[in-house]
Amino acid sequence: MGIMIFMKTANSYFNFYFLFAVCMLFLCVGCSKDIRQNSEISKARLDSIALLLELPKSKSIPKEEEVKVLNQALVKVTKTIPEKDRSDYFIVLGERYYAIRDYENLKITAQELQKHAIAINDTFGLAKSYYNFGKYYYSAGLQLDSAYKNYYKAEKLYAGYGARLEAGKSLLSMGIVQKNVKDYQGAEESSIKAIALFDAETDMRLVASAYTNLGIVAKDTEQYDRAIDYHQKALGYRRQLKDEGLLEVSSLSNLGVVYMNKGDYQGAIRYYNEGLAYDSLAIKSRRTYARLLDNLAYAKFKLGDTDDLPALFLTPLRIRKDINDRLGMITNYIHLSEYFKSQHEIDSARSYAESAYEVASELKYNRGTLESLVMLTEVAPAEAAREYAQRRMFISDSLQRVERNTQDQFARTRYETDTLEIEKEAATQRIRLLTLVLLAALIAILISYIFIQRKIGRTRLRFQKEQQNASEEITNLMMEQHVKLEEGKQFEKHRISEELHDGVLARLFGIRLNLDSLNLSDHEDDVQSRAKYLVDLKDLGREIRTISHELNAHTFDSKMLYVDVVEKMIEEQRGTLDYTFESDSSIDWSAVANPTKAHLYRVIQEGIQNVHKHAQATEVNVGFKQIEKGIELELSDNGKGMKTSNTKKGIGLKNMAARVLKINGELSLHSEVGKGTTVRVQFK
Amino acid sequence: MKKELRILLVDDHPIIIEGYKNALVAHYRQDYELHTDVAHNCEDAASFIKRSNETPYDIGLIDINLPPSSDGKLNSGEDVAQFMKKLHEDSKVIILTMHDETSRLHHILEHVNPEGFLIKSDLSSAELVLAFDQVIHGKTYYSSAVNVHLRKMVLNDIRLDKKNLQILYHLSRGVRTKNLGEHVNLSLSAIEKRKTYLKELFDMKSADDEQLIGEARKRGFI
Repeated sequence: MGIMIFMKTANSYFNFYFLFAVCMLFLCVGCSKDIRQNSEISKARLDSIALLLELPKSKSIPKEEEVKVLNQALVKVTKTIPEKDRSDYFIVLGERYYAIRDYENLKITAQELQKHAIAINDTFGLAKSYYNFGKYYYSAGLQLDSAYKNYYKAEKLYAGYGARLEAGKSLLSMGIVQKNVKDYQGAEESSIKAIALFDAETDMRLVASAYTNLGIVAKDTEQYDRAIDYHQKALGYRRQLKDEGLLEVSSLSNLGVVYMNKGDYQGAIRYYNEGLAYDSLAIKSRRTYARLLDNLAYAKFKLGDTDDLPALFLTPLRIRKDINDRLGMITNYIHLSEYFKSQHEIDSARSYAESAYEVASELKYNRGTLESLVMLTEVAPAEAAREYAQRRMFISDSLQRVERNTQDQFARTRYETDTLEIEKEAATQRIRLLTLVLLAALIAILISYIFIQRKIGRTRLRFQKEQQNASEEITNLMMEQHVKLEEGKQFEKHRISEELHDGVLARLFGIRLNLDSLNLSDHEDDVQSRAKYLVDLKDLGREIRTISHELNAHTFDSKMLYVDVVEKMIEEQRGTLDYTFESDSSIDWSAVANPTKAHLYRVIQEGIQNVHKHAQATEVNVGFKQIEKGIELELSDNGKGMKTSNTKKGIGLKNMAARVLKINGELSLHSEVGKGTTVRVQFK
Repeated sequence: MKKELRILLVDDHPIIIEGYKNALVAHYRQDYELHTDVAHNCEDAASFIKRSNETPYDIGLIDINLPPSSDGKLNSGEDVAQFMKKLHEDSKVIILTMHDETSRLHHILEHVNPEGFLIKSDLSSAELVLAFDQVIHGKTYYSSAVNVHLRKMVLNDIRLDKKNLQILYHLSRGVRTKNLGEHVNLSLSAIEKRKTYLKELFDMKSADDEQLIGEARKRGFI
């Protein structure tokens, strides 16, 4: 039995480790997260990537050449870099393509990035890929709804991981897209949210951009004072930036435009001039320089200060043609057309208006197209003008429709993404809950397992202790009995010695004395007497043999010890009961384990107590029999008996049964009302 | 007319009585008219003694080991002998015993002071007759074992009381100290004290029981 427990235990230990491993696995699955802990690629990493790909420093080489270098680098990445490390490379290359306005390649890097980010579960990489897609759709294709969608997704991912800066950037981009489709409310909301995410200390450039966007929105919704306020804020931030000052000039230009719209041409001229006063602006950014000049000329025209005109319009137009700033050219043409119209040079006005219309149509720049059509309706002959007006109406309508559609699209994007998000969240929640439940179950199993283990351990310990106690107990009993027996032996020896002394020796002496005195006589009677004494001697010899036999019979057989102990106990326990006790002499008690002996001893003790308590008996019989299956103990009384069928086991009987179980024995109870009770225990 | 000699024979073995008779009759048949009464236990012996008030016994041959009287007053030959001497101080007593333990001899000498004292184990009919002869002529006769003991007693300046002798005797029989109380009627602590006293007396303070018994045996107390 002990061995069985041990084996069970060993098996359980195996189970334990198995469970433990499963548990750990669950924990790992539960806590699996992004491989990347930070959204930013460190400076050192950036440098090492640039070095590995042999990228030139930006702006150090012409665009065509840089495209070539970047394309080579892109091939190198797909060939040499292990897939799991590629994300960062695509991010870096994307930045570079964006910087040189190679939007198609930006799209390619974004696609690759997305593929790998999904493959290796890199959330930040995925977010970045959405962001770059947004940039691509915004910059290259003017597919504003797609741009918005991607920015929106990027923002959600970034926000989900608390990447404030990136989330803010995405929001700002969304705001700009929204502004461009005249979703002013949305644009304002996104921009303000973006500002809240930026750190006013470190992200000043972005904060300024957001304010600029707000300024433009305010201007377009004719809230000029607010627009001025926003642009002033943007200017304030940009002034703190230590760069070439182009952004400051941009803000000044924006302020000038607001003043223009407001009708304060003097104010506008003041800001334009302030912008133009920037050091070597004409060299640093010819585009900005041209815009300021054009705007300045337009402001002067509006004010009626026509001294420098139209030359002041023509200089920026030349520059714009030179750098192929076609958007700028459209504005410039319209301004010239307006100017020549005011000078009543209708042909020139019409010609510039047509040029504007042409370029705008080519660019599919609707706002420019509309404005040039407005001009054309004013400067063209009546019939043509009607046609232009119709076209303007049509484009205006379709433009409004497109804008409305796009705005709707934005709403749909938000709704769909959010729904998806909610579903995902719900799924995540479910998984989390399931994991938690599983974990709890596992822990419960583990705890109960450990508990059971400990209980088994304790039980085993108790069992061992009981065994030990039983051994000690029986040893003590034996010892006690042994001592008594020793004393008994002594007295028995004494008794025999007395018997020899007083019986045999005395008679021997008697015979000797008689024979002594009859020795010399040859009298007939005396001869007969002597014969009688000889017979006496023979008798005496027999008596000695009897004593000797007794001595042998009383040899204190150690095998008898246990039986003696039991009989002694019965003698002590019986009280007023008569008793019989028999034990087959063939039983080899030395082969019976001590704990078994102890348990039997207690079973008999308990049994006799039961007889006292319940049986109302006058007699109890105890016997050990050698049977085929081992040994049988029978304990019977002549008491009142009981019904065995419906008897609830009393404590005494339970104790007996428990002990019998411990010695792997079988206990049976036979009783009938009025016919006494017999308990049998069979064991090996 | 032959002189009458009244004899009381007390022994629980008929064959021994027969032996006495055979020896005495063979020897004194011509000179005396022997009148013998036979008792097999204390009770019978006492009633013979009481009945003989008119004509007391000249001599009693008394065994030590005898079935006690029913009233419990007489438990051994010693008691019978004392009783006889008390009633008839002229009666002579010969003690015949199988016992040769020192303490018993000592006790008998002290309490009965018999005219004759014979140890059965080394007794022949000739010696019996010799002793009988001596005693009826007013002398004493002790068998040699008794004499050896007497000499020891005289030389030994230590006297032990009855309880101490009993303790030594029972210890020598193998009785354990804790059970001695059942035999000597003393408390366990009293027994322990006596044992310590005995060891001091024998000048062997740290001795165990075995050594104590050995020494006591050597000194003739057992």
